[in-house]
This record gives sequence, structure tokens and C-alpha cells, in this order.
Amino acid sequence: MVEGPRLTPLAGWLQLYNAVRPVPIGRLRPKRGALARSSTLRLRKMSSSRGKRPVARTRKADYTAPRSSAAAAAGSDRDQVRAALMAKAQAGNSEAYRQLLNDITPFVRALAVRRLREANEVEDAVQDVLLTVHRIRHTYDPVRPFAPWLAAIANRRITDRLRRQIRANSRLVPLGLNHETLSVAEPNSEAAGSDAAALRTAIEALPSGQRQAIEMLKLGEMSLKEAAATTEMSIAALKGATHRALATLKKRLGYPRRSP
Amino acid sequence: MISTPDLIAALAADANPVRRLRPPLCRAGNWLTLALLLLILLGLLHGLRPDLTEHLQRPVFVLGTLAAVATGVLAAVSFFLISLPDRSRLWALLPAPSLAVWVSAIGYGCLTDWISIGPHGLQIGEAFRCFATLVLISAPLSLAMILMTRYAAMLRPALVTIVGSLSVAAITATALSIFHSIDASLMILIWNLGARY
Repeated sequence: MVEGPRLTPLAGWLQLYNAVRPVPIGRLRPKRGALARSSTLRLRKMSSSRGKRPVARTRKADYTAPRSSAAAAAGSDRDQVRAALMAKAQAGNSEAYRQLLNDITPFVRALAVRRLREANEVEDAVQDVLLTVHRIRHTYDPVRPFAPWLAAIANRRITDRLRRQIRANSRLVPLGLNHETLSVAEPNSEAAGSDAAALRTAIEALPSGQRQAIEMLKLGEMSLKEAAATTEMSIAALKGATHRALATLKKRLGYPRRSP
Repeated sequence: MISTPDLIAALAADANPVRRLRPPLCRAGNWLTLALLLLILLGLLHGLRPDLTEHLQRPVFVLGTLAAVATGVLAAVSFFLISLPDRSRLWALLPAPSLAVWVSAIGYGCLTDWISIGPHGLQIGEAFRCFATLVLISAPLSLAMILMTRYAAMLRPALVTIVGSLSVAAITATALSIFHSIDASLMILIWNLGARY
């Protein structure tokens, strides 16, 4: 990888938008079932606003009412449990804090998996979120729901990571085959003008049978069978013509004879 | 890289008691009280502008000053709300209406009177003195704001600092329109919002 031209600002923004575009939850669920189920929060089906809203803007909206009232009760119970754990953690109870962090990690990971591709990036993001939660745990107010607070932190941290990634990637250009052949002189010498021109003249000066054989078999890359069908010559005749043509060309272009 | 379970264990071991932030309205109230004290102090030291009563007759002046006060208060409230992770960032629009009124009432006195050539040669203009007042008010207020949010503002720093600067700017402008005889609002807005970049 080398430093290369940067993306234009528009292209950069488009790339960022594509990266943070929401994945419809309904489609995500079966794939990441284990992770999504283990999270406490109910994710809303976004069928109506599919693909319109960048995830960075989602807050409470992602975690709205579950479908049945029983599920709602379960969800709000879980949220209350988490709020109570966080309140204890704020008071310095490390066991409650450990329980809370273990509890929220799958949910954070599910959010990260939605938007980051590489596994180690996902794990870095999860740890980043956990560290942030630790650093600003005093900003949580236990009378308010816990889920939006956590989701806001997680979404911000993941978006920051995506931005960093895209900024870094926009300065890199992968080295392809083109870079290798064009930057060194030897691989390109085939295309050097004089030899090619001399060869072309030499081929045109060949007797017509030999010229036809060279054009079809060597320049046109046809198989012997195809060439035979096109020219109505036998395969043996084509082989012979090619052999003679190559010998003539070698002589005309001044290549040394192969020693016996 | 440390594994996530290890990290959780380390964080849990580090779970010292923390003091919860007071509600945002309460914090905004504290900050506004500080601003008010600063204004009173400056008023005692500097004195009101001589033509204040005359200006209070002009509806544009009264409207502009009231709008500046409202912008300052609302922006402060909005600042302390959006510096918390779980509040909607639409709160940032709270000061928008009063800001619109204030900006439309702004004149541009200070930009034109930096130095003047009077009977005593080159003089420092009124603009320089009002610039000094501006620094004297906005620097402590900004500092207090930064101290109050040094842990909370990290999730959306740009939006939070813009709203915070707006609040400081509005309060400074109110002070200047009471203490100084030329209108410096535009300079204050440029100074405060520009200082954040």
C-alpha cells in the first residue's frame, strides 16, 4: 500500500453514508440471531423508513415499543434491572458493574456487527464503547431509561471508528498489476515500437499460405482445428506452414539459427 | 490487544464511586447565575452606558437586547441538555427563534471603529475598549462551561461547542449593549464562534 491521491470530498461522504446506512433489522435478525436475541433491547422493524435514515441519527427511535404487551413488560423489566445495576455501579459496587458490563456486551457487539466488517474491528469497537461507558458513567441518571443512553454512546463510538477507517482508507491505493508492469522498464519492452513494426512488415511479406497460418494460429490465437475449418487446409498442412513461416521470419529478422 | 472479558474485569475492579451529574436544568441555572454575577460585577466596576435611558426608548434596541438575553439563556439550557448522551440533539434548535430575532436586530458599530484620528492624533477607538470587556466576560464564562462539561461533551463535540459559544456570545452581547455605547453584537458573534475552530 502506498500514499495515493485522496478521494474527492463527495466520494468520501458517499462512502461514509454507504458505510453507516442502516441495515434493516428484519433482515439482520435471522443471520445474527444469537446476538440479537441475547440483547435486552427490542429492535424496531424499520420497514417504513428502510434505507432513508443514517444510523448515526438513530437514538431512542431504534428501540421503541416491542410488539406484544408481554414483551413490553419483559423489555422494560430488563431496562429497570440495568438501570438499577448502573445505579449500584455508580455507588461503587463492582460486582453489579461487572454484571452490567457482561449483560450489555452482546448488545453492543450486535450494533457493531451491523456496521463494521472485520471481526477485530468489531471487538475494538465493543471495547471502545465499554471504556466510554466507564468514563462517563456519571452522566447516567437512573430515573431515565438505560437503553437510549447506552445506544447513543455505542452509535457515536462506532460512527467515529467508521469515519477514522474511511479517512485512512481514502489515502491508500492498493498496488495492482498495472503499477508493477508500468513502473519498471523491462516488462514493457515488448511494446517497444521498432521490433513490432519490423515483425509486422515481415509477416506481410510472407507467402499467403504461411501468412494466413501465422495470423490465425499465432496472432488470432485460434486452435488448429478452428483454423483448419476456416481455411479448409489440413491440420498437418497448417502445422507445416506455421513452421516454415516461423523459420522465414527468424531469418528475416536476423535471429540466430538454433544450433543442432 | 486485551480481551473483552479481561477488559470488563479491569473496569469492574476500577468501579470507584462517582458523583452523578445534577439535572441539566440545574446545571444551566448555576452557570447562568455565574454569568449574572459577572455582569453585576462588571456593571459596578464599569458603570452603565451614559445613554442607556435614551436607548431604552428605541424598540429595536429593547427587542435586540431581550432577544440576546433569551438566546443566552436558551442556548445555555440547550448546551447542558445536548452535552448528555441520551438527549435528542434537536434540543440544539431551542435558541434558534430568539437567535433569529437577535441577529436581525444587530447593527455593526464595532467593526468600523477600531482606531480613530482625533484632535490628539491617533487614538485607540471605543471598539478596542469594548473588545477588552468582551474578553473579560466571555473568557471566564467559556472556561466555566468547559470545566462543567469536560467529561460529558465528548460524544458530539462540534454541536455542543457551537451551542455553548452561542450562549456565551449572547450574554456578552447583552452586557456590551448595556455597558458600551456602540453596538458590538456582530463582533462578539464572530469572536465567540470563530474562537472554537
